[in-house]
Amino acid sequence: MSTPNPPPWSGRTDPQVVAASVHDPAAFAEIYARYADDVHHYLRRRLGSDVADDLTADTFVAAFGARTRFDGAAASARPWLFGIASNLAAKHRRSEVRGLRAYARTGVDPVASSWSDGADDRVSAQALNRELATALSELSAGDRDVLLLVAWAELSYAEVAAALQLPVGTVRSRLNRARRKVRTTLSPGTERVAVRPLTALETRGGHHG
Amino acid sequence: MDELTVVRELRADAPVGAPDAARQTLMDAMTPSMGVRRSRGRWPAAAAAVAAVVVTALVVQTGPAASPSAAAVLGRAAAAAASDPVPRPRDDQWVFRTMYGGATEGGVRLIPGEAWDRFDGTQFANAPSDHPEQLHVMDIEVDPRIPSAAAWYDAATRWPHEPEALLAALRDSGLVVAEGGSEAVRNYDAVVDALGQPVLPAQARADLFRALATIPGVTVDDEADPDLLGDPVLAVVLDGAPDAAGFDNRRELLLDPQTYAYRGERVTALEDAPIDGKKGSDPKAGQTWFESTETDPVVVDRAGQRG
Repeated sequence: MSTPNPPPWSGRTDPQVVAASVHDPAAFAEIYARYADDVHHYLRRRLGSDVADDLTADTFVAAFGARTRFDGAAASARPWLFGIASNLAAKHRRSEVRGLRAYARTGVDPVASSWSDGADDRVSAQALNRELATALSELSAGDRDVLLLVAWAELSYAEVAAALQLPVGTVRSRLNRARRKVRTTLSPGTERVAVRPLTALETRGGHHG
Repeated sequence: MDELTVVRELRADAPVGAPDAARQTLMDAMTPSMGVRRSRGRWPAAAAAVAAVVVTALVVQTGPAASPSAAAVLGRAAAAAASDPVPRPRDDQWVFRTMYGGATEGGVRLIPGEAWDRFDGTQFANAPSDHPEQLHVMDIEVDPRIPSAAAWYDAATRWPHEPEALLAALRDSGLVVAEGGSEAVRNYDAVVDALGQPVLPAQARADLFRALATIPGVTVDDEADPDLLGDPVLAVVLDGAPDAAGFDNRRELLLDPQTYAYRGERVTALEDAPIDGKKGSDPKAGQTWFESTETDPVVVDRAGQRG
């Protein structure tokens, strides 16, 4: 039901807005206003513009349908929404891996092509990004979700845990594994060990005093 | 180098801004009594060319030099093609495809991307990938050297069914440019050119697969490298196939392993072979110097539609 002077939402927390939307559906538009661009941006980077357009709509429609179950004790709706988005993105896992492999093989990113011209002339970044695409394509889906929620959605460990409904310890170990995989792929061979520069004393062949 | 920083920078140039359509979809869902949910354009899940695969192998007349497994596989492909009717589109309908890859020129891969061809060949359309709503439609002066999809379809309805006669008809049709260094290569190239056409009568496709099985030296590789999208493919291979300049190549026709739909082509040099006659330039032995991957074509009523 609408009131002549709808309450201003800027001062309200996400749980307050979501709670209000249970009986006043129009209030949910505020949740969209707060998070749609971020959710869309994340999905766009994972799956390209067209799929992101569809999945963004699907995320908020699903969230709207589940709004009565939103945890009122949560600090923000962000992890909840990204959790829904991640679940929806999981159905496009195959095409995500295909796109990463195509990028690794050809040096052209089909996902980035959905928003920029086909000819990507950032040649200096090519080799690195192709290796990165390889690494990402080889991660397990769960490890990739955690890595990208941290790197792209900028969720904290606790937020990722809430989003994916996992213990924080699991989030931490998945992230470590993903980071190790990326690190190893980008620097093949032994890990470089920092070399301490020789002191002047040592270069003189160990004379003391 | 911090790997998290590297990951953060990947695709960081993605534009920000959810589309208005997404908000409208939510609004529609929030007020279901106010009417029908607006439909959103979606990628086609499958094209008309995907067929229910007929598993029973047909007995196929094969030439003496085709390997038995190629005959069996191409027989199944022919059966699948024959069981999937392909009605003739209207002249004013369009064929939509997404194409990847192409010839390597100077190391850069060309990506034609999304394209619409009017069935009668009088118009062509594409759209910049950063503004897919800005469809650019061009009038085409019909060039008999570049037959339209309609020209192919109509010619194919009149082709003979028997392999040797079909190969001769293809060579004489003026539709294909087959300049390979041996008769086997010329026949193979002609058939692959035809199978790459987006809309052909079902019987013609079936006959083309059967004709392919009669070409000496044709084999099938079910462990071929995946296509440019990383999808597994079945390759119909002609090895040691000299091109017009006499250099040996490995030619591959790439098919969907389940539906036998056309997926693309690949050519790999088997010896160092300068493309333009200059010794010392690409391609080198073992180099794949041509590769294309296409999505299943879809017949639509207007340019810009995807299904």
